[in-house]
Amino acid sequence: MTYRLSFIWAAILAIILSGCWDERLLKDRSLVLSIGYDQANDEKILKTVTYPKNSSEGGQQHTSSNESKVLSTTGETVKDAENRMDRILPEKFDRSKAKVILFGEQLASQGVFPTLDSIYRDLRGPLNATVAIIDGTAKEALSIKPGESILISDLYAELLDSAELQGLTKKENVQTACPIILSEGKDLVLPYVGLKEEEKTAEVKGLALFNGDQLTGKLGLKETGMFLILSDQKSKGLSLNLKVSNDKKRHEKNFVNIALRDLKRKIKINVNNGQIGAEVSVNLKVEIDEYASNHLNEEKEVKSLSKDIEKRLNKLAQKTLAKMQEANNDSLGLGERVKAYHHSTWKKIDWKKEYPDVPIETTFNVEIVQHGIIN
Amino acid sequence: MSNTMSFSKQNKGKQLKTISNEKMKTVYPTIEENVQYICAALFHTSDLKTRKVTWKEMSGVIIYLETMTDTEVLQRSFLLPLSEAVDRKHIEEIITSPEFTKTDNLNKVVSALLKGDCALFLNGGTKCFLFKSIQVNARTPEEPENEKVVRGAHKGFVENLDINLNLIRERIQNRQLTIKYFKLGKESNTNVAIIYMSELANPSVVEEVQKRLESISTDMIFSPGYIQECIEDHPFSPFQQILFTERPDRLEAHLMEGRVAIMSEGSSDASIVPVTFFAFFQAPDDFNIRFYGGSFFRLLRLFSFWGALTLPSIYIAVIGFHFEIIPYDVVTIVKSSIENIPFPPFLEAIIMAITIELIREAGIRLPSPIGQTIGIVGGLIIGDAVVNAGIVSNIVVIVIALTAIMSFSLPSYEMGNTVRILSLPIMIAAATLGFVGIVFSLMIIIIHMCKLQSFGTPYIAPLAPLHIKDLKDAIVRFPIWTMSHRPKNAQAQKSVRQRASREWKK
Repeated sequence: MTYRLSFIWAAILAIILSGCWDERLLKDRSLVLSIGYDQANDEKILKTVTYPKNSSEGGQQHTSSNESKVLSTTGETVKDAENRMDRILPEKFDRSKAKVILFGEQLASQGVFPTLDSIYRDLRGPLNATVAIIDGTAKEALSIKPGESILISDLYAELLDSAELQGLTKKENVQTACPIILSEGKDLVLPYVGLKEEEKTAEVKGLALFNGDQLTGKLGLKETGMFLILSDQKSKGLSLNLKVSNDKKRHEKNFVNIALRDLKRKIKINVNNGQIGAEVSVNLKVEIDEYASNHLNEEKEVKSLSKDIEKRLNKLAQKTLAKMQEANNDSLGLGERVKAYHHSTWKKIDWKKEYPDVPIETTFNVEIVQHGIIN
Repeated sequence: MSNTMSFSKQNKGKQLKTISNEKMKTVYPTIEENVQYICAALFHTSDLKTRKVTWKEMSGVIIYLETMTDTEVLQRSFLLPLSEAVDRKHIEEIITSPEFTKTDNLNKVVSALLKGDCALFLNGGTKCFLFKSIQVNARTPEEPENEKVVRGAHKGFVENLDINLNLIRERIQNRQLTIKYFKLGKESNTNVAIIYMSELANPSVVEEVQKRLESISTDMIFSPGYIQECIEDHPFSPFQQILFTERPDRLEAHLMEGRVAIMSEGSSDASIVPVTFFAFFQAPDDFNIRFYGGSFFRLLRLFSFWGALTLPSIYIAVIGFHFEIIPYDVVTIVKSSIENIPFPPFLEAIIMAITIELIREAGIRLPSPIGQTIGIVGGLIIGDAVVNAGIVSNIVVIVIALTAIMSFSLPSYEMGNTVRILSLPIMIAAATLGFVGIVFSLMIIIIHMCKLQSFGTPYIAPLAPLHIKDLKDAIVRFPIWTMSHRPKNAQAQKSVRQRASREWKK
């Protein structure tokens, strides 16, 4: 018994008197909920953070505060800027709960990987944070004052969430972006967000295309939809508005709006004497949401409409792929396929040089499965 | 110190004067001598009454303790028949009491008087007649306050051993039901009974219970806790290894599984051995509702056990060490709630936990109307004020209140106490090491539980050692007709309990 007691005492004293207590009290930390990185002048980094305002009105709050404070510092590197920030902040800077990480366009075209480096090294880095590119600077993006009592970090996080659900963009977080940046045969795309200054809010503008970790091009909203189809993203809510004719009097009657029900995509890589070609074939099942010029109650009309839609989609796909190749952005992962199925060829070529000139054929096969309740 | 030492040494070996039954003291020929002896033996206690009687010109005297005897019974069983008896030949014919003995040992007479008997001496007789005239003051066997059920029997044990045994015999009308009496408590001479089914209970368990009971040499048996502390396998463990119950139906179920019960005079609790950890989570209610509900509520209780054990410490660890695991949408709420609290989370939790314990303790002692007031004052007013004053955060109040509710949801009061006491060291571990501390302390607790035994039964029996069949009634409750075997942990002699009970459904 005495032996046991002395053992217990020894254990307790060892714990208590060791003097190393790595407590991180939540109340002593400033929770940074969104981070923005910009290129400052003379090569420095401008870091902007927002954190919720302390509601220090004594006593308890029944709701959390919905006001953010915005703070910017410049530094040689991200960590340097962070250390400078700690001098200003009353509490210790803590980024482990960051929800969004925004990059200004200028910095993104220099490359995002060095900036994210400290997060990948950090045990408590915000790997779940959504990454987005801002048309303009991240500082402006974080400085807008959203009216209806919503934290700025929530604004961006929810905007990107809902945009992905509606099939407008593809969301990436810090963790999923890393392997794509580092892989040889695949490239990164990130949501591209613009500001509507007069309305004090932000809007999703499409996708930012990367070559390696550098921003090299952008896709508009329609092209983004096409990109999502080509990259086989199961985006149920995706809807496309296509112009299928020019001769109708009423403007609306020239358009058809389709919603995706089901999609099957196949990519085939052909190599002939070192010449690489790609075929992308897509089978779509679509639903007609809006088509003002016809009731579509006859088989023939439906067939012809689907032919029209196929044509339009093909055009759009070619346009999209041209933009991607111009940006040298292989986010469909064609390179990976070449590497996997034609490895001897892959070893001979430099894919980054080859890719912009690879002919990519697209074939669409559209089946209209629904055209509304009444018709 | 030295004084007390020497004092205890002096007393050591010195027999305190008690009347033991072995000593023989034959009845004196005259009544006066007998009465005198008995008076002396009972230290001239004032409630010793005598009454002179005559029968066939023979003078006699009846002696009894008026505090123990029921005068009605005395009249009916002796005095009335005596007044009508003119042609009776023997004194045995007069005494109509069902319990009637003759003895020539005066010391036996003294013990009998203490049990509430009445003694009759006749002049010149060599024997003393004893007949039962005890006054029973028992409350009605109503439902115990601390083991209420919604459905099922609403009877409970009382403080009288005979009535309790009667309640058991009523439920189990079987010749196997065996009751063995012991006298425990050197001075209080408490009657203790062990109850078991002869052909079900394992004889080695019965023997072990007897052996441990006989080794008790305390001067009084005041409550089941006395017996428990003396016969438990691991008295230092925070976990109880003996199940208390005040419900005859619960006791019946355990007896029929082959367990042994111990009951003592003057307490309404039956102690059941050998039990496992899961016995503390079974309520009679489980068997009176459909088995879906029974299983669900039992799982809920098991969850409550672990919840009450770890919830405050999880709060401390999360707020103090790993706040990045709080979900995004909650983190701002939590942050703004604890922003201006002056104390570290450990102190917050301790303050609130002690407050809750105080309210509970105060509520027990007070009469029920005031007790409710204390509950309201303590719960609502203190809780609200303490949050408004900014001493503790409202999240702590929620956490501690949840913990308390979880610990009260356990069907066994003892297990609830165990949980609340055990959560303190886990809180300390969480405050020093975070989740690591919680994991370490839970490991120590589970290792300890694996080492425990209750009369040869491993404490977490159906789980370790694993016995899959028995899990049917440990963690969940399967339908009654699927439980065809008695649980192994009861160490019953016969394991088959029933054949198919639903063979009508072909």
